[in-house]
Amino acid sequence: MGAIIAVDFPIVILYGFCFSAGVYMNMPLYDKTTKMRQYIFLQGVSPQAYFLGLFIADYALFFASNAIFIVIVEIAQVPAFTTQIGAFIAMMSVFGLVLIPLTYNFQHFFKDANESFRKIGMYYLMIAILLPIMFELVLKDLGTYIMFYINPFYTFS
Amino acid sequence: MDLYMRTEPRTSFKTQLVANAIRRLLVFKREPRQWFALASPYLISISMILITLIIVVIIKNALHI
Repeated sequence: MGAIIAVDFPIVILYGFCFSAGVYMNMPLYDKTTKMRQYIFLQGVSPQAYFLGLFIADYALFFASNAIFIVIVEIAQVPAFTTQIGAFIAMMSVFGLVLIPLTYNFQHFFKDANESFRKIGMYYLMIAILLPIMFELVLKDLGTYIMFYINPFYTFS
Repeated sequence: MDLYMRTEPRTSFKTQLVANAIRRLLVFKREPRQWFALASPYLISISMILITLIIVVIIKNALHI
């Protein structure tokens, strides 16, 4: 059981996060395409307050889903998680801090909220899988070192 | 534009922050697609682990290990 979770879990949850990250981009992109953001800024809301407010709400949602998973794991007493639950919570918290702002930055590549929801998974899979492979092939150990520090998906997996 | 900005009522940074956060949460509440998107990483991983476990048990039974 522990070995299966150790092999399966990081890869599968990484795929899941890649494909579900569009949820964090949906609202800022919708606001951008419908000119809603412009109206909000005209009403006196500062860009810092706008993006920080979004980030706080998104991080709360990310952490809420994470908390539900942790509660389920604790109730089911899965040994692979319960023995390292503190490290798991810390890892997920830090990953959320990185994933959400990264997704906000990706909104500049898309023109439509629905399109972004579909395509962001592919972009993230390329960053998570193809980019580390390319770096490791070209730069060997230095590539691994660079990826560890600049690629959140690589560090996470 | 400057006149418009001056005549608009000014709110504090904290109020703006909370208003935006609540607006985001309201949008989330109204879109079930987002609920599934947020839960999907965990649902996928739990189901994949269960599928792998079932396959391992079937193989063990078939080989009488």
